[in-house]
Amino acid sequence: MQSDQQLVAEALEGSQDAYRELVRRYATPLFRLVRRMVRDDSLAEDLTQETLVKAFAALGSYDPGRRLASWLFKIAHNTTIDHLRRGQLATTPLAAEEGDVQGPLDRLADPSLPSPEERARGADLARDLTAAVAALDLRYRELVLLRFQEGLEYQEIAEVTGLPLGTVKTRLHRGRKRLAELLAERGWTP
Amino acid sequence: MPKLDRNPLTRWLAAERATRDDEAEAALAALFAALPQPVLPVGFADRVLARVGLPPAATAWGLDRLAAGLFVALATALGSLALLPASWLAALAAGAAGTLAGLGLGLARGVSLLLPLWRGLAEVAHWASLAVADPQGAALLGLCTLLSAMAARLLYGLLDERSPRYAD
Repeated sequence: MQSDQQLVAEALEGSQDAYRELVRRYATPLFRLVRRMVRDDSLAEDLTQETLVKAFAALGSYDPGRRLASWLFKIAHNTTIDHLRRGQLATTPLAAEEGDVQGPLDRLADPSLPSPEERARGADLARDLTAAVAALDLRYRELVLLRFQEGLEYQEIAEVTGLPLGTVKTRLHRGRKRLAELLAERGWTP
Repeated sequence: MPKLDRNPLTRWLAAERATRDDEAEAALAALFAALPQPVLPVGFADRVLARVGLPPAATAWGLDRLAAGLFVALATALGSLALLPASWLAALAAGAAGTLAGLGLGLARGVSLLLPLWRGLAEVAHWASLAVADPQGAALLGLCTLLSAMAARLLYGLLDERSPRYAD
């Protein structure tokens, strides 16, 4: 498999296959992050598309010494934050959020669970964890997603978000604690 | 996809209570890994590439494949007619005319519509059985069936590719 750096070099030489492969590798992780930040499939798709278009336009400025994923997440972060700051995304009302929990999140059930009881429990946990993430303050939510969903290191998260390393650590710690509290409120205890 | 069960949750919450940070982080990451993953709608990559000025290759390739498939099917069908004995062609033409005439009569009478229909079908079956009995004819029918199936599958695939959807 070609490395990200090889793909970027080929894309810069005009290889359409290289561009396509970059989209194949990174569209879903970017979409996954943005979707959980904005909680809207259609908007998340638009912002993911915007992120990739910006990235491809600026591909010449990418430093091959850095991880491509971090660079792309940074562009996704900036694109999403810009959008939120412009106020184009209204804060999700509580009722709508609850509705969201009962709607698309119902699809989170894992059909491979062996018994209906366990299946229902897995679906409940998936639903409640997703809802708890959605209920986190955005400052914590993005960091929690970058760390635990995308597996970025603290330093990478600091680069993506532009926050000092200490702030990243503090917010991640608080975000984790808050997430545990939110799950406890929904009845999940050790 | 791993099952989303209570074990990572239990480990995570217990680790949080005991302030074992490393264990809490690992367990929470395991929980996230078990969440169902969203999937982008089909055609997303093409839309991105189109926006950066690159042709949507999948669409162009798909249309090329369809055109090529139809061309091959048509050429094969026409070419195969030349391979058939002249007597077959005459018989097929006569048979088709006879079927049509039978159907027309049935409609004109307004009664026993099914009778000429069945007669026509029986005639088609008769000619088909004659064709299948001959190795050359059987090969031709097989080829035509295969090409039809491929064209139908291709068309279905192209229509399906153009239907945006989320699979959560």
